[in-house]
Amino acid sequence: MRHNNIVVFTCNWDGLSCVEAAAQNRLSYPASIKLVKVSCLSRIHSGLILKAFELGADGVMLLGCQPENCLYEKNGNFSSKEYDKALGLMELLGLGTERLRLSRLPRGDGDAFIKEVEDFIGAVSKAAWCSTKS
Amino acid sequence: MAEEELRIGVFVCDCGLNIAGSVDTEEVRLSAEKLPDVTVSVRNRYTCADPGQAEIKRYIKEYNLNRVVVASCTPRLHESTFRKCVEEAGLNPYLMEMTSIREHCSWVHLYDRESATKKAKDIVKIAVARARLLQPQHEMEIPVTDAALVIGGGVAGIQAALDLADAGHQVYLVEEKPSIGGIMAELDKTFPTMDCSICVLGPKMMDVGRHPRINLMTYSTVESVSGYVGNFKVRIRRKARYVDETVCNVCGKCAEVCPVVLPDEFQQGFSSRKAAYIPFPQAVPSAFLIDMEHCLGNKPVACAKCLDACEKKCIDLHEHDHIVEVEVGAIIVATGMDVYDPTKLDEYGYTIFENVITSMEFERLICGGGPTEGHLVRPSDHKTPKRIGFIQCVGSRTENRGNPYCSNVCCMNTVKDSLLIKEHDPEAEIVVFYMDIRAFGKGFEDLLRRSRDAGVRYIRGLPGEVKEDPVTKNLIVKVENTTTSRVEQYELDMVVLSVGLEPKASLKKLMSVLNLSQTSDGFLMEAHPKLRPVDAPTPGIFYAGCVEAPKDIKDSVTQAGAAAARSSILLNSGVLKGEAIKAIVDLEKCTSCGVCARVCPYGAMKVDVKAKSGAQVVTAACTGCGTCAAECRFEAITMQHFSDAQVLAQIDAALESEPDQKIITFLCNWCSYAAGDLAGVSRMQFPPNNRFIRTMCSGRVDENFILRAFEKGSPLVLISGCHLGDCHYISANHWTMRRADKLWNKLEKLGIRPERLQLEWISAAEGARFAQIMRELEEMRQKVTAEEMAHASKVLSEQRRKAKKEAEVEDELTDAAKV
Amino acid sequence: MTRHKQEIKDTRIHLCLDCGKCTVVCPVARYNPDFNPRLIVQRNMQHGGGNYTDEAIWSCLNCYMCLERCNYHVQFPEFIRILRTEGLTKGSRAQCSHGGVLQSTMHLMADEKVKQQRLNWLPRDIKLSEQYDTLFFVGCAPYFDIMFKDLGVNTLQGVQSALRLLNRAQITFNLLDDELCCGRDLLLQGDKEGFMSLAQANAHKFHQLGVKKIITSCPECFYALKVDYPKMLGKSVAEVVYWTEAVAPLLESGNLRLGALAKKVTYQDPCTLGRGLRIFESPRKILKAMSGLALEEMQPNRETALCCGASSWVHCGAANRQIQDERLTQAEATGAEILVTSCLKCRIHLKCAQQSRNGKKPKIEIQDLATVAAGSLDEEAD
Repeated sequence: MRHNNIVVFTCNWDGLSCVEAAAQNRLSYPASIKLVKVSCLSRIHSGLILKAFELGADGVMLLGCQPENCLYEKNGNFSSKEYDKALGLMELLGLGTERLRLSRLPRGDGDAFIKEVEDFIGAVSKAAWCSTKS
Repeated sequence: MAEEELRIGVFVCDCGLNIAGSVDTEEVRLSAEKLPDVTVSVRNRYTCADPGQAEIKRYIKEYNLNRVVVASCTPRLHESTFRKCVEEAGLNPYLMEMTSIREHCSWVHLYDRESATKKAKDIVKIAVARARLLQPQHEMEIPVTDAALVIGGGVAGIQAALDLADAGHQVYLVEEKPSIGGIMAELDKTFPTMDCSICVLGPKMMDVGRHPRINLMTYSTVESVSGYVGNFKVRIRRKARYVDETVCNVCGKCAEVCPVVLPDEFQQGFSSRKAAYIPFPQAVPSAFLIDMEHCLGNKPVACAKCLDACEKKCIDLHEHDHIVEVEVGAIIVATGMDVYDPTKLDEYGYTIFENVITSMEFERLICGGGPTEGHLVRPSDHKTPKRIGFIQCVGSRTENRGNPYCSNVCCMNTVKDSLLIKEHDPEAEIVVFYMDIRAFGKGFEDLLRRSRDAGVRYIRGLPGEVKEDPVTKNLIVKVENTTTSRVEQYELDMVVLSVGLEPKASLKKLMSVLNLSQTSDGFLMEAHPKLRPVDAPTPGIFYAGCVEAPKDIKDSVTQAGAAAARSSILLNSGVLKGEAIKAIVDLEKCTSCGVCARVCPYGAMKVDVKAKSGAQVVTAACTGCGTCAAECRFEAITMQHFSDAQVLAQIDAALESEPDQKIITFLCNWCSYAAGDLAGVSRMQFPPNNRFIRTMCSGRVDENFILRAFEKGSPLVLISGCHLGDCHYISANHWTMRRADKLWNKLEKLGIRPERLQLEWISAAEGARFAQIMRELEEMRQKVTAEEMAHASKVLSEQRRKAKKEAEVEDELTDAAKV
Repeated sequence: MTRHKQEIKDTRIHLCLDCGKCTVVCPVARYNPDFNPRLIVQRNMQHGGGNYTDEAIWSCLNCYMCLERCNYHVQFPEFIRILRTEGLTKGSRAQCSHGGVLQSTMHLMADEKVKQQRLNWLPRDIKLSEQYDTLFFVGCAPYFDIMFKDLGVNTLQGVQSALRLLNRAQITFNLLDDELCCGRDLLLQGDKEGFMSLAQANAHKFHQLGVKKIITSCPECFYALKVDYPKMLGKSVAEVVYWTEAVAPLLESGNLRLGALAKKVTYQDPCTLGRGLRIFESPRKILKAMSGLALEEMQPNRETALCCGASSWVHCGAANRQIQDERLTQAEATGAEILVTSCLKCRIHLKCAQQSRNGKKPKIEIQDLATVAAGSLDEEAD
């Protein structure tokens, strides 16, 4: 069973707080999770998502706040255009849309984070294609 | 021809140690003595020196020799020496065969005495085989008509005509326009002296008109030329002027009353003329003419106002063209050039923007004799332009619409134009856009300096676009100033396109009339670009002026003088002697198929394919390349002094013993044999397995020669000639190449490996390459197996036997039919 | 001579006469003072090779305008490509536009394990042949459709229309469901490796299926298949035909008729199709075959037409915008209602430019040639 390379783009505030909460509670998640911190998920465009797959990711997770809590008052209106674009391209390419997940979690919810990750890894392992770069 | 007893004398030269040092000349002498028909075999120390020559003469007389073989240095050096020598002893000079055992043997096989001697013996044997079949020849004496034709009445034609006429020769000067003068008459001033062009040309034009020995035919064209050097017959069409030029007193009344108005081509279309007109005031002949193409008509006469107005009654509206036939000994082609038409260059807007003009149009605008009497005005509003730009290299130095060569004169022409403008208006702002300024001639740099000093700006960069302001009609020129690397915009009142020169569009017709060829730039090809720059490859024809390449007036005049001098040499000689290597046609075998006429580079074969009257050789025009003989499928053509029988005898002699060791190499006299000479002179070494056979041209090499070589057991054959495009006989080696192609296919079909026939183009300068090729040939020879040679021998001798039998049968049938 | 030196020599830059005509006619040089084609040649010619470190080389649009005017037809765009390729291997690279998503997509496509779902857009009524001897090469239209949906550019509609027209013209063809990007964008950016993996895979597919002829509606794919593939792969791939060249003769002979379109229309010559491959007239013939259509040419057009301002998804900046603004102004000056072009990239770039012209409202519709032509047939049917 291969390791699944998962890239998690996490926002620096609510998203990261979930990760840190999980750490504080000594909850574990696989080491193949790679965290990439950004100030806000609105920074993420389809290019970055596809690049992650090009460089060998099996799955990309976008971890961020719930709309009403956004520090930058983006209210979750962050470019869903970009997210939809990425999904569209991935579907065309045959990568499978299950490899991209948008997770909006409440502040500091470590358990929710772990659950999301495990669920996501499960979905990714069942998906058809896997990268040649592992 | 009576069968006389052959008495051959062989003279083997030691040449000091040059030959004797690496070849055992005594052994060679002894072996020659044993050859059939050899009466005496002699060894000299220095055959070419007086004692050596005296010895040859003595032996001829003492032993009653009727053929002489000299085995010494290259015939390209001393053939004429020994021909003269035997002639002085009473023998026909063409009964002497000279062959090289020095450049082609002793000098290139310095370290293998045994093989070099063996080869030298073979060389002598080959020479003797040819000598047996040599026949006395007489060099044809062609009388030369003491008259010259000059085609083209520009400054080059004028100068050539005057020089020839002053030297005492009769000259026919044919000019297609109604007046002589050419482009020079249309210029305002000339560089670098800033002379008034028509002022310096005018007196020369008058001299031509007055000269007792110049028959000036204007408004005339050369329709056809037949004949050959010294004896050309020329048909000239004199177009009807409808005015008697000897009577007309240029009063101009006909033009005053003529109702037809046309653009005046002399003024570049800026002003008009009538259908009854004089090309320009200084025209020679000084007479009006009627432009019948635009006249209201003479069949029937529609108008006749000119007729009524003419006091001298010298107008005849029913005149006809008439044909004049003249005989001349030499022809000078001086038909000049055309100017590039920049309409296609849409980025410059010529013919779209009124104030964009060409340099020729500028000449007329600034000329005192021009449409504005020398007041420089611009076309759109006739105002004086203050800011004028010149764009250089229009239509030149480009593969993108135009010509790739440099047109020579445009840089200096613009420099001159800039100074003319400054003369008219010192405050004018002039800018010249250029890539390079070529000011290479005498006084040119000085003129350029004066131009810069007067404030003319020279911007290095060619404009990428010219646009027009729709209101002011000013031009906006956009150019990258490559010196500052900035794109700059110039608003100008007028733009002058410095257009290049081109071969005349009508050149192709003239070329076919005179059998001339072009160089890659489209101008006429000289016999040799360095050593014979005014000679056409066709004997008796010379060039002067821009017809040969773009050049300025000084160079045109210089070239005209050179052409006149060389024509004069020809005309003064009274008779011409040609080397007696000529084609002869056997009319019984000739089927009038026309192939020989097609392949002859000199048009020296005339065949009426329809009348089936047989091929006629224009003997004086024949230069002896031998291509016709090689191409003739019916073996109807014999080359005097280089006959099939002689060459075949040489091949047989070469391969009589140990044929598998011998590579037969056919070398052309002018290039490949010379390359061999150079290899020898340079002492390049290579294996001694080649046996060379010299022909005048690679075009002479008949298919049968090669098949004979293979039949007699040669492993490898080389055909070698000049590089394509450099053939001494213009294009004959193209036929060699095609023949080789066909032969390769034939060999393959016969089961003979085509690589056993090699084809190489070797120039006279390529001595090292010659040696290298000989080495490579030897390597190839070693890979040819005995079975291959045996197979070739068998197949080819069977083929020859069959062909001979078929010919015999056919002869019998023909004979039977006769009975 | 090394292969690199030979490649540079073959571009003929040594014949450059240093005259500067290219700089004057180059659209990029017009707006970007740091971009000077002549200087790039002079600066970067080295003894037998080229210098890739010049930043300016990434701004070239590959529009061939310099080539059109150059006295010796110096292959400046090819020189740029060679320098970029060298540069990429040594660490310098182009700035990809759109966050590099298109480049990543092209790289991912080349991955053997990727199985695209690329024919979902195919309408039921398009007839396909059973054989593969003639192939219609779609190109990246399905991907651009996702990318530029919000611009209002329906790239797939152009392809569908072209297929409909081919059906109508009774030209048979088949489609590949695992077609890869032709790779031209990667090649132009200097990513020769990326191009080769796509090209070799495509060529292998064509060979296996016995493809003899390829028709396409994307000028870039057309150029790649016709010119780049034989040159880079060393052997001819198939006979390659642009769709207008296949359809226009049938309009002339009367075997195919179009409907009416009573509008004033102008035509954008795509650089690659026009100056690159000298196809100017067959698209115009298709337009003129629609009755009622008035074709008003932009100034300039054909050989001197202005580029749509962007190339291979790199370096899109202020100069590009200004070029696009100039072209849109030229289009509007014709008074035409529709700007028609057969290049989906021209459509994308000009539409994108229309929406960011300093407040100027779009005054002209931008449509695809095949869509307009096929649309006229539907009108007829009504």
